[in-house]
Amino acid sequence: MKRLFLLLATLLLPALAQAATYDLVVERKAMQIVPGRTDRVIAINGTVPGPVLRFREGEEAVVRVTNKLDATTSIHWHGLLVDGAYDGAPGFNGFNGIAPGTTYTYRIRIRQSGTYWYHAHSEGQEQAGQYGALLIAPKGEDPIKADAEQVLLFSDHTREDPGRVLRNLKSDSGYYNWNKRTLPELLKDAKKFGMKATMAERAAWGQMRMDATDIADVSGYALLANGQPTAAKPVIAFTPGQRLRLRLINGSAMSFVDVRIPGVAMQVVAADGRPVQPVTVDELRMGVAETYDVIVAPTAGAYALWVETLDRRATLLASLTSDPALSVAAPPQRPKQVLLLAEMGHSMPAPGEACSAEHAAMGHCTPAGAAPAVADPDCPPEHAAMGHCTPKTPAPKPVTDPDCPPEHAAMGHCTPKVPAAGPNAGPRVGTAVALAEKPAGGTHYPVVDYGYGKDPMAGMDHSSMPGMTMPVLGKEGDTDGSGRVFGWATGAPYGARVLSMRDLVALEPKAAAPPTREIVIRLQGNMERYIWTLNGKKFGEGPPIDVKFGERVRVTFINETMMAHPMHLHGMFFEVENGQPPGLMPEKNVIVVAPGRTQSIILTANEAGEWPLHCHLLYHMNSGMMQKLVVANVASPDGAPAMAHHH
Amino acid sequence: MRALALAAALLAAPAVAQNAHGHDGGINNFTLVEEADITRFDGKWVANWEAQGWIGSDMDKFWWRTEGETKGPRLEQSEFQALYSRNVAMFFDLQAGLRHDIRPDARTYAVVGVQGLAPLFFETEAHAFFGFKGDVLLRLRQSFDLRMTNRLVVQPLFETDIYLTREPERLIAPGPAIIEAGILTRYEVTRRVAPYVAVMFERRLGESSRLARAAGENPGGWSIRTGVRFWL
Repeated sequence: MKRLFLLLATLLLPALAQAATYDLVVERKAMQIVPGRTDRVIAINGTVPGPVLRFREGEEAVVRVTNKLDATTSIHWHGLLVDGAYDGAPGFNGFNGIAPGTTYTYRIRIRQSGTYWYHAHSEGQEQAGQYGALLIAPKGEDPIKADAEQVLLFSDHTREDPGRVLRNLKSDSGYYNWNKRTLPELLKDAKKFGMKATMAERAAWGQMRMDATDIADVSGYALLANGQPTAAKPVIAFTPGQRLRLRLINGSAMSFVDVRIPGVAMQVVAADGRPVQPVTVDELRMGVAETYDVIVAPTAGAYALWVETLDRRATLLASLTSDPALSVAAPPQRPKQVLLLAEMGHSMPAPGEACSAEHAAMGHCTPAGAAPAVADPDCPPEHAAMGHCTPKTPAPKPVTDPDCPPEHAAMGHCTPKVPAAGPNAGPRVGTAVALAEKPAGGTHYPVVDYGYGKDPMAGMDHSSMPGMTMPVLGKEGDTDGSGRVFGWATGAPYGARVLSMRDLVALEPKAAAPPTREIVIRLQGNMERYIWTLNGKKFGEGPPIDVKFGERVRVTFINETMMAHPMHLHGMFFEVENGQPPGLMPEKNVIVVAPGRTQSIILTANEAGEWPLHCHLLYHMNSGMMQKLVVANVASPDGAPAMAHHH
Repeated sequence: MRALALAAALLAAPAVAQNAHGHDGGINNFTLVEEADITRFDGKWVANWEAQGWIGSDMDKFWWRTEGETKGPRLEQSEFQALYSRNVAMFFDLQAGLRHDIRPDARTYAVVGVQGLAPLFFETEAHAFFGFKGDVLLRLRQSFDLRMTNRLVVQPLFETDIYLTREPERLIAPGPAIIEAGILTRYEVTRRVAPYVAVMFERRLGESSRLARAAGENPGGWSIRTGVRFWL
């Protein structure tokens, strides 16, 4: 019977290849997602997540979406190159959403391949369960070689109504933070750092009316893999000796996730659907809405696939196993963080520290004199600096390209030819953690630089800038009196191979002309009132961003907030200016901009239409962090505007 | 009262008309009952309430506030405010509207003031009241959350009514006539429900105190109240 079905499928496939058709029904449902309780969700075809949609490059996809909700809905094809009307964002390109009780037919000529996803683009519906994976097989040979594959769609599930979540945040921005600093913790900090320094630091946060523990805005989440939480014991089966391709999708509404499989190296081969040169990592951080394809080839056994949110409040344990009888245990959880006021993320050296070994290794600064990178235990750097002793170990020469000194590289003026110093030379590995082991006198945790933008202050001499010093209690990677670790990005251990955005290199080089103009977008917000803006405007308040069809522009995001924002553009890929040479910069559709950092992308505006450009944190978008980017011919041959603007 | 609410609703109309987009935060609402308690005091049950809330957008809100006290079956004091509130600075709203008291005597005031979050996380309210009978007063209120744990919060608060006019009917002399200071300790069972114990000192000052005493009224003093703070 099965064979007959296969035979039929083989016979029918060529015909189907012309038009892959799916029917999706969106409806509310009471469902048991976390064992033992029933939650109200929005399901697609009865499930959360919705079905995996599979297409082939070159075919026409036809998807009929029927809305059985009592509200207008929509489905957006995240990362797909589409005719604007079928992008699925209401209020753009004349699309007004799918009214209750109606069916909307999307028609998309598939022009790409890779790992993508789809989700609602109306109100908070995505958070309620309206999302799913979307995979496209290439027309020709797949540049990514694997024997088997498995989709892993991560999501953050809450039983709260998404509208209520936003109302809670608007009423009390700290509503979901049960990790606020307390008075006893202030005393612990005072004991460790001194009362004066502690009070100065608390006062500085208080002056800004910001919370140093505001890492993520929403909690109470159950982290899911393909709709299953840890309690449902999700299993990913593999056959030893095979190369397994994991298609990782972060379909969370609000949660960045750190993904690792202790004991199994992951080879990153694609980002946001686009193939990249393989990079071997022990772990990677996924911004909201990013997708990564990784290859794993474990030996026989069972391995913990461990996912934790950035704020460490939600975790997921899945089993990657060749034998279903084996069970796995969760690795120890990473520490919670406390933000650093002065650093707003990274890179500004702590007072009295001109240029740490880590920053030097990352090319952020050049050590003054011969500060040893690997310190002599008998002579820690601070003593050496005071002239109390001379370290026995000579400072290893930082690996630099003579044509491109680190200070120029840090400014983005050039790209060093020599790869950043990693634990192994040879195969490319993740470089977010620069140091292989803890130096004497080093911080408890290493500085982790995910490459989410440049520090606009890098390379400047902070000591010569009065007024620039913000009170800090410790360096990034140090711990406070209560065991929280300082810094936004921290937690990974020394020596871990962690993916940095700088490690992504496009698989196929392509022609890349320099951009002809720059568009600056400031990411701003008022956390206290939960208002998020682009260039100070909420969606609909300002004029759209106009780009000429075919124009090549640099878009520079300047993050002035204390949160990381995964910025997403519909309808087009952009190249990420991650330090790789033009032509090899990776193409993405989501780029994370870390707190206080600046990240630029280059966009060739070759898809006409009105495209949403927004922060993919759902409640940031729904509180205003979105703008319309219009790609239009300046004038059509008859002199009239080629595109109608729907402002 | 109905006219007052209508007036405030009209003032807040721009707030409701604004919800054209799905991605501007929309219209939200908030209702906070800061104090709701009944205490045995001087042989009588004394009920106390203090609540405020709003409905509106990020920029424009209709804001209301009420506080009062009953002693035994008698309404001792009651006050209602209906305000239009506009966000004018990052952390502050400018507010204007009406206040109506039923007790100790019926009075209506025009209200102008600011409400917001001052540096160092001080919740701050400063309002001026212009009575239709010619009385004028200023009210300042500040409070602060000290977290012992993530659920146990000690909240010092301070409020004062400063009169610019003499109000014989209310036994008030010009100057800082009434102060209220104390510590409200609450336990946040959830963010929205928090039982509390309030140790408060509320007293008339100076000549206002003497006027009250001369009229045979209590000028105030210490009280301990337990109740529930909640928001909807």
